[in-house]
Amino acid sequence: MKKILALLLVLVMVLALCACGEAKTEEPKEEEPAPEEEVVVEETPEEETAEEPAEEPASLSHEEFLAEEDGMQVTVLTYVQANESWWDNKITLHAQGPDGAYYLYNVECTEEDAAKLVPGTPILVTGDKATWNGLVEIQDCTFEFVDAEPWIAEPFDFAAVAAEGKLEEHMNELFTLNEGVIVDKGEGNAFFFNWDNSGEDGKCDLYFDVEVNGETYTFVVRRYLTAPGSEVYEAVKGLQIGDTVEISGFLYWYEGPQPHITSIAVK
Amino acid sequence: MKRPISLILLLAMLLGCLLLSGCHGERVDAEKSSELSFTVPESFDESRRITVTFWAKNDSNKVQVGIYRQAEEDFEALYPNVDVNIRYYTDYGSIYNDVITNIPTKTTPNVCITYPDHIATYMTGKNVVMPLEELAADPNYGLGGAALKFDSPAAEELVPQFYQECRIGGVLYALPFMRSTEACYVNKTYVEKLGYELPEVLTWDFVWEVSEAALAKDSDGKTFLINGQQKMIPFIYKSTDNMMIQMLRQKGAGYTTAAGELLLFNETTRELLLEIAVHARSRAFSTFSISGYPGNWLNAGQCIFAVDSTAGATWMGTDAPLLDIPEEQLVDFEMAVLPIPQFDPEHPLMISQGPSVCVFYKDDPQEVLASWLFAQFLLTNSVQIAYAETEGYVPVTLKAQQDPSYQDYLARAGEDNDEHYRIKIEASLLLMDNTANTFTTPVFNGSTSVRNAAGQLIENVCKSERRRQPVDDAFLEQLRTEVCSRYELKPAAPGWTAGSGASWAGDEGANEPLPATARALLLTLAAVWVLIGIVTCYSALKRKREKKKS
Repeated sequence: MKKILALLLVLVMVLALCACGEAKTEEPKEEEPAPEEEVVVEETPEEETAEEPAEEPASLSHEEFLAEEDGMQVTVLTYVQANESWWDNKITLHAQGPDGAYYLYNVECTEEDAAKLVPGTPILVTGDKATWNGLVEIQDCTFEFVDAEPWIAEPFDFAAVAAEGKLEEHMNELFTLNEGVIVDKGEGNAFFFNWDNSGEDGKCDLYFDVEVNGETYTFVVRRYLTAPGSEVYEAVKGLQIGDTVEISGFLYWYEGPQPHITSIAVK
Repeated sequence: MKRPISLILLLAMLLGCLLLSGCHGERVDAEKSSELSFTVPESFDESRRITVTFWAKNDSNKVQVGIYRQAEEDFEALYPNVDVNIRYYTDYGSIYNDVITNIPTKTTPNVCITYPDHIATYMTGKNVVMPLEELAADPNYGLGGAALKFDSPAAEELVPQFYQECRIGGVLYALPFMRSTEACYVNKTYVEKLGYELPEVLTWDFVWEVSEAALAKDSDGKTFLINGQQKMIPFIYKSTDNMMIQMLRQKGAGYTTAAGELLLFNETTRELLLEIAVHARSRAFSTFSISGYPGNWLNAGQCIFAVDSTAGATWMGTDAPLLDIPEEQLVDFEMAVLPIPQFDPEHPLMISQGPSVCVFYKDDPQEVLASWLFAQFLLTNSVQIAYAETEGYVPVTLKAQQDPSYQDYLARAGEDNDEHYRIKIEASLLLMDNTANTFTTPVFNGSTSVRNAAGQLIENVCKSERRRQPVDDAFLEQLRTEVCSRYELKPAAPGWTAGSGASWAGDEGANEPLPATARALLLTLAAVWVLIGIVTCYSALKRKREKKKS
């Protein structure tokens, strides 16, 4: 009896240890239950919405958009004017319609769709209205293509609007500056790699100052909009203090006007 | 019959022992064993040219760039056969992406600025990151080594917490370079104007209460009484992942285990999100990604509690050496630099963060040694002190911290608004005074995703409330699902779990729950001992009865 009991006890211990040993193969089990359950949760509402087509979101005019409180979800019909580089299924767009412009930050987008977002493309965008360091924008957007005629914005005259002190009213819009003079960005440089010259060629944005109507404005070559090696990026690297330049771009805002340029030519 | 049973028992015991050792081994598999065959060369060959490529990160700060350049020059002067090539980055993400891209082609740099989370990902490649244990301990070229041409700190001269943070799975994979934490930069003037007295250590309750009080408006319903402006976000947090991590740590709640088991989606997290939602709804609270840099709002008199890194102190305050808003928008106020809000002010806890340096494996041992020497050179007083003084950083060596020149720098806080800018030095002192109260999160392949997910929970809650879409149980469940899907996370259990059981670095797994298998084993062993006890008692009683009978 004693021997049988002792044998039994040892076998129980061995079985217990076997259970412990199996833990190595248990680890991948994590993959099994939880995600599958999650998928089910996600699929249910989709099926429901499929039966009841969602209401078409009402598109706001630009004036209505500006009047909306920050944080509210907004939908606007607008037209792509330029895009920043696609990354991780997101893209950032400069968009404009006949009544105003939008900076669309982080638009959910496949790489395939990103290729279709060429200047002029009409899109219906939904996202959160936000003011980020002074820039009025739409964050975390989704979009759909709209079957309509393409539309390209006419640039406003930067110098004329600046002279009236009304640049903020044209935030995010396409502009052209017919004549400005490159001034010293600091320590005798016509431009900086990064805002304080801490960057490295090809790895950062370029900053340069332009005098317009006696006022100095900082313009930026944003590497995600006009990448290193592009005509614009390389042209700015060739600027000299005192150059008279013609510039076009979008009136980006960061605690004040800070245009992102798309072309520059020395006159 | 006797022998076969004994044999079976013996075999069973041996099998048990084998399984026991297998079971023990499972706990160690988090330690990434190195397959590198590297031996520290007996001497550094100075007769041949070696290039060391260093990918450096600065905070968009040209003074920091200058310090790197000086370090390059000084090192090359000591070791003329070494060319140091520095590539400058302004964010960790770009370095990480570039390293990942270069691993398959074996074109990683020799040395790079990094975070332990990133190293854990690099280590998924074979022979990528050098374990530094052997190099650090080498009597000639290790920390404080005899053959070094510069005054390197000995291992015991590194701040122990910071040095420990560079171990992954118990193995040294990096050297600390700079350390910072987060600080709450407070508009003390407004706090007092609202009728509150600023405590030495903020609590979350205090911050929420004052923030809500600051939302009172004039009769026009547009102008905030506290600042007379139409803009006011009383509480802005720069890094919401840090916010969630620190809140959980302070609560002793789950985040992850040391081995990477996901505990983030627990009941405490859920409660914290519901609390945050209340203040996002009232607009008392916002985040960097929604509203922009906290410092800009603070300096414009539009924020009362701005939480940002101590390494961002030079942007905080109207007298700050670096400013991002037009001068006419600056509002003068008295500022206090305090630790982040706490749940238990008697036992403050805050995150330790900041850059480290790792060395990449190369086939040529002399190249590896040169890389190690340069990485170690970054720990010398000249580099440590100069770099720390550019921001609210803290040197990672006790040697630098105790150096008279650094002590003099600290003592001169407020003498000017540039090198001795009060806020910057107070931010450094905050970390030096609280080094023992710092912690880091467990590092494993995928720890970056968990960190991102922690921040995303707060961001989405805030956005939802700002859209006037209430954060309720249904929303939180959907949020949990979305965040898991986006960051490819696999929680051990569905829903918001009740347990805590986090393993925070420094706790050495003290709070970590035992795995289910280990619990089963212990229970079974306990049952076996009970059975043995019963059998022993039964046998004793039986013997007694037989004795009586006889």
